[in-house]
Order: sequence, then C-alpha cells, then structure tokens
Amino acid sequence: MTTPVPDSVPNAVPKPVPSPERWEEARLADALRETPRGAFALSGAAVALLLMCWFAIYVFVFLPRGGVG
Amino acid sequence: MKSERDILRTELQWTLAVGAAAGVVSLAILWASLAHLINPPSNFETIDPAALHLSDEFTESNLGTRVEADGEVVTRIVATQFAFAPSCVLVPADRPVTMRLTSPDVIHGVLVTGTNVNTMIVPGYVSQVRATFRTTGDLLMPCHEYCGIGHSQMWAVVQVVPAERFKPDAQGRAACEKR
Amino acid sequence: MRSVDRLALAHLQLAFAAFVLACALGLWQMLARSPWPAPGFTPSTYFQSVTAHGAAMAYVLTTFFIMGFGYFTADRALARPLPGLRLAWAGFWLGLLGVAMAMAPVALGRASVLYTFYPPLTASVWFYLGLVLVVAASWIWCAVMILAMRGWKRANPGQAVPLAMFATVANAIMWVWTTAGVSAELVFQVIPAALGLVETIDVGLSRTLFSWTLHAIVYFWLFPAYIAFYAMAPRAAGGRLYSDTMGRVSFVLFLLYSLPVGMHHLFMDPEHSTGFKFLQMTLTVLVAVPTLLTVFTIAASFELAGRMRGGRGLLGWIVALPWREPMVLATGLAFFMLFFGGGGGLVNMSYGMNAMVHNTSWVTAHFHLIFGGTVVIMYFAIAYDVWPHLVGRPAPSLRLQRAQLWLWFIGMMTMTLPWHYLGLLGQWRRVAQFDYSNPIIAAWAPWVLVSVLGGAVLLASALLFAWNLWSFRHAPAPARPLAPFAFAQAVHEPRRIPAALNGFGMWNALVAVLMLAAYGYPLAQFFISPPPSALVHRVDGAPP
Ligand SMILES: [Cu+2]
Repeated sequence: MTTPVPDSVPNAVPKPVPSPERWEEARLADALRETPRGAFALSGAAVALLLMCWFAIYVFVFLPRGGVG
Repeated sequence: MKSERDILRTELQWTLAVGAAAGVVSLAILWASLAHLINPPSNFETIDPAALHLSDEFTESNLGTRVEADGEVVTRIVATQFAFAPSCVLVPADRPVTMRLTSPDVIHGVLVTGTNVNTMIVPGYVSQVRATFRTTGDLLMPCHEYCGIGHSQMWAVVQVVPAERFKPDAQGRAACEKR
Repeated sequence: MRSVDRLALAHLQLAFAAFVLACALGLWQMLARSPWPAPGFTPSTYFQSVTAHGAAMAYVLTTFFIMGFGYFTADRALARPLPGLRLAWAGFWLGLLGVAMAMAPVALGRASVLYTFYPPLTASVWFYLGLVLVVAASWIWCAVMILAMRGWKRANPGQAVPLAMFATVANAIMWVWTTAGVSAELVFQVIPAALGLVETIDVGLSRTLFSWTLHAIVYFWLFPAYIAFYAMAPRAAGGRLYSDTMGRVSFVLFLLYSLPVGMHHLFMDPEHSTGFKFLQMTLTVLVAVPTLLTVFTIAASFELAGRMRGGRGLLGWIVALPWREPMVLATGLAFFMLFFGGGGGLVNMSYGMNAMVHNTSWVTAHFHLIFGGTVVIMYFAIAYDVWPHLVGRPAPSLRLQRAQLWLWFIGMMTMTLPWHYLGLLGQWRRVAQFDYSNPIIAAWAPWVLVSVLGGAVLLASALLFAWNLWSFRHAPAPARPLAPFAFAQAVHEPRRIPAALNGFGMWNALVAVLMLAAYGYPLAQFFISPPPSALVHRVDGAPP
C-alpha cells in the first residue's frame, strides 16, 4: 500500500488533531465529498458491460438459433 | 457533510439507471417474443399417461415424422424410462416442424443441440414445440431431466436433411435414413 | 464459553462438516462425467452421490449456517439474552436427527431422487421425513428470531432495529413463506406416495408447489452474504455503510420479490401457459433491482473506506482498500463472481431465451457461481470473522485465510466458465457419464477436463478452510480479551425511522397479495380441472 495515510484507526493518528473521534468524523466528511463518484463509475461500468455481454449472446447465439414456441 | 437526504438522492439516481437497464432488457425480450416468435412452449394439452397406447395419436405405429393432410410436418415422440420412441426422427431443413412429445411414466425433458428446441415432458401433458431447423446433419436430442438410474443412456437423434432428400411415403411418413 | 456461542458454533460446525464432504463428492461426480476414470463409478453410485451432494449443500450447509449465524447476530446485534435458548437447542437436535434420517437412505441407495425429488419418482419415506424435520427445525429458528426482535423492540420503543437483525428477521419471515410450497408437496403428495397410501401423483401440481420454494430458497441462502456486505464488510474495510436506509429497502425488496417468481423455473413446462410465465418473468426482472442497489451501496461504502484511507481519483480508492482483511477480499471476489453469475442468471430468466440454456450445464454453472461462489465465499468470510469471538482466540493465520479465499475463487471460475460454454454447446445436465466416442461430445472433452481441474482446486480450498477453523484450537490464548464483536456503522445511523422499515407487518400483507396474484390461479387450475395423474415409481427397491 503506497497511501500516505495510516492504516488502522486510533494508534497512528497525527498529533495535532484533538480526538480520534473528531478526526475520524473529519476524514469521513472529507471522503464523502467525492463519494459516490467512484461507485457510480465502477458499478455503472459493470452494469454496462453486463448488458453488452447479454446483448452479444442475444444477437450472436440466441436469435440465430431460430424461433420456437 | 453529505446529509442522509443527499445520500438517498444519489441512491435514487442509481435506481433510475438500474430501472432503465432493466427496461432495455425487457424490451429486447419482448422483441424476441413478438418479432422473432421465440417463446417458451405454450401448448396446454392434457393426456392420460396410463393410456397412451389407447390414444389415436401416440400409438406405436403413429410415432415418428409424418406430413399431415394439410402439409404440416409433425413429429410425434414418446419419452419413456429410458429411451425415446423412435430413437431417431427425420425432419426436413428450412421448413416448420411441429414436435409433439409425451411420457407414459415419469418426468423427462429434451433439448436439441445447437437449436432453441427445449421442453419438459411431464406425464399427463402433451408438450409441443414448433421449430425450423436451419442446419442439416445429425443433432443430438438427449433427455435432460433426471428420470432414474438409466437417465444417462436416454438420448435420440434428430436427422435434419435438405428438402430434396426428405421423401415421405404414401401415408406421409418419413423415417431416418440407414446409417 | 457462553451457551449462545456454543449454540452458534454447533450449527456452524455441522454446516461445514457437511460442506467438506459434499465438495469431495462433487469432484468425484465431475470425474465420472469426464473422459477420466472415477473409482467406484456406476450409474447408481453416481446418482446416489448427486443426491447426497445436493442435499448436503442445499439443505444442511445452508440451513445450519443460517441458523448459527442468526443466533450469533441476534446475540451481538441486540445485546440482550436470546429468548428461547432451550427451544433453539431443541431445534438443533431435531435438525440433526432429520439430517441423519434423510442421509441414511441416501447412503443405502434408497433415495436417489436428487435433492429436488422429481415425483412420481419416489424414494424411501425416511428421506422425506428427515427433510421435513430439518425444515421444522428451521421454523423453530424463525420463531426465535422473530421473538428476539419483538422483545428488543418492546424494550427499545421507537428505536431502529439494528440492520443485521432486521435483515435476519426478513430472511426468517421469507423462509416461512418459502417452505410452504415444498412442505405442501412433501406432506400432501410425496410422503403419502412413499407410504403407499396413494398410487398416483399430480405431477403438474407437485412441480408448481416446488417452484414456489425454488427461487426464494436461493435468496434464503443468499441473505447471510448480503448481511455481511451491509453489516460487516464496511467495518472491515475501515469505513462506514453508505446508507442504512437502502439496506433496509433492499432486504424488504428481497422479501417481496423472491417469492412470486418461482415459475421462471417452469418456463419450459407444459402445465402452464404463457400468461403466468410472462407475469412471473416480469416480476423476476424486479428481483434484479435490490441486487443492483446492493452493488452500488456496497461499492459506495468501499469507496468511502478507500478515500478515508487516502485513496484519490475516480477509482484510486480501490487500491487503497485493506485487501489483506479476509472480509474485504471475500467481498471483492464475491462481487466479481456475482458479475458472471448474475449475467448467467439474466440469460436464464429472459423468457424465450431460457430455451437456449434450460437444463444445460449453463444452469449448473450459473448456480454454482452464484451460490457456491458469491454466497459460500461470504460464508467463509463470516466464519473467519465470527470464529475468534466464538472460541475466544484470534485467528492463527490471516495469510492462510486469504490463500483459501483465493483458491476458492480460482477454482470456482475455472470450473464454471467452461460449464457455461459447454451449456451453450448443448451439454445437458444430470448425466452420470458421456459417450466421448460421439464426435459432438468428443469436442467437449478439453473443456470438461479444465472444469475437473477447477473442481480439484475447490476441494483443496475446502480442506484448507476446514484446517483454518480447526487450527484455532492450536492458537495461543490472547493476553488481553478480544475487543467485542461489532457490526458496521452507517454514515448516518438511523434515528427516527418509518415503521415500514422497522418491521414486517405491512410487507407480509403485500407478499400475500403478490403470491395470490402470481400463484393463485396456477395452483387453483389443478383443482378446478384435475389433469390425469402419473403412477408412482418407487426407486427404493420396496415392492410397489
Ligand atoms: Cu428421461
């Protein structure tokens, strides 16, 4: 992990911050500013890819096998 | 900081996207159903499984492929533990074929490899599938539902031949070519 | 050890013992179907094995895991004594008795009807009676879960039931609805036939009753995985659950839409016409919604965690996540498998498109990937998460836990991707062996062999899983007691909450309406004009 921020919560908290809870709240508020941009991108891409795969099977495998009923 | 309301707004946006995706898929399914006529088998017809031999239709001499008086190609098959009667059916390519199947004993099912032909065969019912076979050759038609210890040995062949090699006899019957 | 922890542990151990045995049988079955030899193979032993594999995985692993995890959840989430602890123990012993009763005739070769029964095939009556006892045991669990939530609400008026418990009770209520179908089939049709009281069975009716159970049962199995996604993974990732409300909405939607959709298993059946097939197909599209809502909410929770750990950019948070945590790793792998498993399911449910894949290896691949992949990998992660709290010792090795999860993922993908492809080629299901001298079948052989290798990796992973739990015994006792177990917190913990998202009264009524619409006529038709019945076919060697 190359991230500059410590991995586990209370022990490695930087000194100047008053209390771990406060600091956690601040980090949360900060992270929430961007969120859920990435989640939109990731799950949107996944659903789009899923639809593309479904349509590929639909057009190239299913329809050519012909009508039944 | 994002309020609960802000968070729910993003969730709602995602829900709309999901709804649109589901709508697109549903439309494609409808399209296949209405424009390409690809539907689940929709025949609803009962028959007494204990008295198939007494029925006019599923007696042994009437099984296999037959061109009916109106020119329709109909293939009748009985699925039993653990064989199909007949074990090979001849059908013409590029011409609508109606397959009618039933069982005197337990549940069976068939598919024909490489096609959309697929139906369960439930004792008490006549399953019917209309299909047009586009490729010629011997296609496998296995029983695909567990029907007992001999299930794995239960399979038949659909022999698809070009129209010029499909030669029914005087009664309209056609059987597989010798192999 | 506390009694409730012993209770949970007993359930989980039984579940996983059945699981490991069933994995071994699964690999042997794959060998039988491959061009390679399988020791001791005959068609009889094969179908005996398939019955044992299916029943152990679908009825023992799942039911006992869900019960054990439910007791643990009720205890930790509600933080008050579990009501009916002795009743719960009685349920465990009843269930164990049921498992023994059901498995004995399977072992003797008198119940080779697979776990889905297929009447008019009829096995030894002990097989069905044993399964009825397992279901009865699970109903005791449902009652205890509902009582536990009631008691907590009475003690905490106006407060939101913790999400993990809300979901557990949603599952308990859904399960009572779910089991109604199969119970009716067993009690009114199959058991009378097995006892020789009736000579015929209305097969259309039995298939329709079983379909009532057949979709929702999968969601019963799936619930613990979703509880882990919402209530455990965000904490393991070092963040918060993005939205507690959406968790509740998703669980309510699962309760509503898991049930009135079972006829999508009967698309190819002749006892129903297109109208109700189409209706239930439409409802099936809706059941995709809560799954996709979950994908987004959990992705957002992980994004939050990754950003709190310093991840930047559109997708940089993904690398910042603590993938060394087994729960985080399992969640990632579970979603990856959900992509393929869900995609396969989308094809299955697509009405006419079902004809392309029905009863082919495509379907086997689909449910192994969704259940065996997405769900079972979360069962592992849950076990790794709760075991230290049940036995009071920290995990001896996170590295081996991660290795086990990776092996399971690799094995599952290697096994099921070829199966999907073989299914499209037309390879059919439930066959003891294939005739590889046939040219069509010979062409499948390389893919079959790849999938066998995947099965071997899965068995290795299952054994490593058993070792990982076993080795807790050798772990040194901790110097300080472990920090108490806690579920994930949400960004905004619910304070005031609408009654609809804090209980199930109204939703039960709506389930009843949906079931009446979806299954009312399809079931009534068998009584309005009874179709011809089929003769009972005994497979237990008893005289007819
Ligand atoms: Cu069969």
